[in-house]
Amino acid sequence: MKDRSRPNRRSLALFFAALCTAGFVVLSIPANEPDRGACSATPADQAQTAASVPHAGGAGIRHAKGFTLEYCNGYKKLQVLSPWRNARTIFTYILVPRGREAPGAPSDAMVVETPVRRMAATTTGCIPFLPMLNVEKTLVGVSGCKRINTPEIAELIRQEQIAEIGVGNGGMSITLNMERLYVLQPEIVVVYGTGIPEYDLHPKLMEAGFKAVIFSSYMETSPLGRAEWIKFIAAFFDKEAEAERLFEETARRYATEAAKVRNAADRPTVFSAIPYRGLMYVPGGNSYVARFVADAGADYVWSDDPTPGSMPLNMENVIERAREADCWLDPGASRSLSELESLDERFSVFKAFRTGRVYNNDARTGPGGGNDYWETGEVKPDLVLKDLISIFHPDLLPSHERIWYRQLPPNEDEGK
Amino acid sequence: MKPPDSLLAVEDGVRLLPHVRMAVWGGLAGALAAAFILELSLGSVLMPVKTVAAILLGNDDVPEGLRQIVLLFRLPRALTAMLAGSALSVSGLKMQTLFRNPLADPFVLGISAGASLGVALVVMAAGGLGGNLSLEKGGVAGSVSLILAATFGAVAVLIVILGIAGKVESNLTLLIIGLMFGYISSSLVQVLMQFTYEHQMQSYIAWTFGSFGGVTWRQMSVFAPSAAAGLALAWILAKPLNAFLLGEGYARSMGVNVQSARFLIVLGSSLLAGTVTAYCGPIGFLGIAVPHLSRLMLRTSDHRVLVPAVILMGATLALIADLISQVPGSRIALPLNAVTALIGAPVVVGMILRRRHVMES
Repeated sequence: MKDRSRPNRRSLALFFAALCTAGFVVLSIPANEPDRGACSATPADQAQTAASVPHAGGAGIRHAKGFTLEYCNGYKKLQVLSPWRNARTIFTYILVPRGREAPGAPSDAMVVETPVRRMAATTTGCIPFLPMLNVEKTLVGVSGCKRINTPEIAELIRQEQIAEIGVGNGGMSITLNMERLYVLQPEIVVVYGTGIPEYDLHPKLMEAGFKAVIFSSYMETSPLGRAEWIKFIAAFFDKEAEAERLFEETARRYATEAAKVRNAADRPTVFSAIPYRGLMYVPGGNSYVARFVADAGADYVWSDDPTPGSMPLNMENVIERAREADCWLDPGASRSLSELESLDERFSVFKAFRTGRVYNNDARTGPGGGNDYWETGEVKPDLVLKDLISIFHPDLLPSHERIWYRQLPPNEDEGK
Repeated sequence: MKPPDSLLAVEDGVRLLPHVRMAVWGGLAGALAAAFILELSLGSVLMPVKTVAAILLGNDDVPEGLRQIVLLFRLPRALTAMLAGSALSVSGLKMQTLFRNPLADPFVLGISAGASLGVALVVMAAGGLGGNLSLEKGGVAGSVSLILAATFGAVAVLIVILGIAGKVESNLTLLIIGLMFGYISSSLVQVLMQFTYEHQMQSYIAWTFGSFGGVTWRQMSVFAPSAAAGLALAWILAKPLNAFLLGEGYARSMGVNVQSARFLIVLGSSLLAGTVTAYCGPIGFLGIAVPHLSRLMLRTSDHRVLVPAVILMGATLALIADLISQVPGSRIALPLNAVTALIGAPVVVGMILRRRHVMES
């Protein structure tokens, strides 16, 4: 019975999604047209601004395309440009020093006093940045506590300094524990947006009077772009100079590693695919994974494809492209080659499978099931790149011990 | 004696002439053959029929990649689609007759709801413990564990339903109990979803989309015999099914052992529905639409005719639905269930509108 009613329910949900999005767009657009003339990308050329906005260093955004940070007269303007795929909404946050006013700021934008003293988060993406900026103590609530891998945060959770704010095992967290949030009184709640009202938390949070901050680093298609979101988080704590320094180091190390393989003579061919019952979910040619593969001195077999996200392909389509590819990255949850084969014995068509060159990014998975690749890996792309280079060009990094990537063992037992 | 429900039984006056009937049979067989050939040659990679024929005949000149695509992917996929389409349609036919309800389908007794619950348990509950997709750590792996879970769920519901089928007097009671089972399973699935991470929920949702592409040759060795056994059982039961068409009382007066016939009908139908759901996911609409189409085309309600007709038509429509879902020439794929519903829903609507005057009379 359920199966027959589903299409109706889904189309109804889609209809409401469209309605809500439309409403949201109408509400948020006026916030995007403040006077640009008074703002600049760096505070340095306005002595007055530098004086009124404390701790501001240069914060030019170079790799990230999803947000902008501008210094205006007496406040900082932070804008999230692409909160989710095909979004037509821009989120604007006005950051003012605590206790001050922001006279010239657009009146309908969300105003946050900095430095933030208490924050909550429902996305793991921003978690590793907090200890890097030395502000982890401001975190008072997280959803999905048991999946957090960042050691400093995990320790605070263990000491019960950080509360679980998700309902339902901290899983999907469609629902937040609003009562606990009222007790915790965070000044901001960092969430991620999907554009799907059933999953999005920010409308509900804002309705309840909380300041929801959309953190959409996952929309960045370049590894350094994602890592640069440290500047986004830092702005709330007036730590832009620190963020700039940390990011610069990461970017420099990333460039150094990438330079080692830029002119590599032999570039292995690589594909990435999570199999599911005759389908394979494949990152597009313009995706985060594709960029990593190219920077690590290998050829991604879909490099000519323009898709930024992941695409479901028929397996025959994958075979056409990837049959002779040298390496297979991220095959999903399988822990060994034999287990992968038991999903579908036809994987032996792939040369990478037959030669055992299948690598998964799950080597660091915490006891709660959270994969650290999506946590620490996102903020340290230089180290992920080293993992990949050591896979594609083992002779270049002979002493590198891989952190997140591991080669699937033939059988489960041999992996232990 | 006039049949009680005109949607299910056809009056004698409109029977087809013998040569027209032969033409309909020929058309059905021809359509199936054409759909089968198209399924093998169309896909993300387009292939001339000549190449497909060469591959099937074992010609070694064809490039290895194309041979693998046809032999390892398209052939099992086509066979799965045909078997699943036939199985669901026959199962739906039997349910419609048994319950004398034109809207009954293979899942009316809660079989797919049970299978869904089994899959949801494996994907979500087991996954939640280790962050893995399935019972992999227990040694049962991947899609195999999904199949086992779905089978287990379907069998659990089946056992209860069969137990009830042997006891209750009225088919209506059985129908209502089956429906209630469906609701219970669905609500348990929803409870599980609340406690689940996004990626696990995604693999459950992907399962509910349905797919003929996941059955490999290795799995075919279980899938094909189970489906064939269910189809054979349906053929054997054609006569008691004819008697049921006129009601339980009539069946009893014809000397049918109602209790045991009902047991066998439910068993066969659930075997078919459960097997397909386990291997392909809950595929809707074929089971409800194909029996009606067959009745309309052949102008009969005789199950000795309908069972083979429904097998042919179910196989053909499943192949066509699968072809559409693969969007030949592109590399994307549509959810199979969306396509079957898009074909099935207009059929059901059209049929009901066409027959309204009969129902009103």
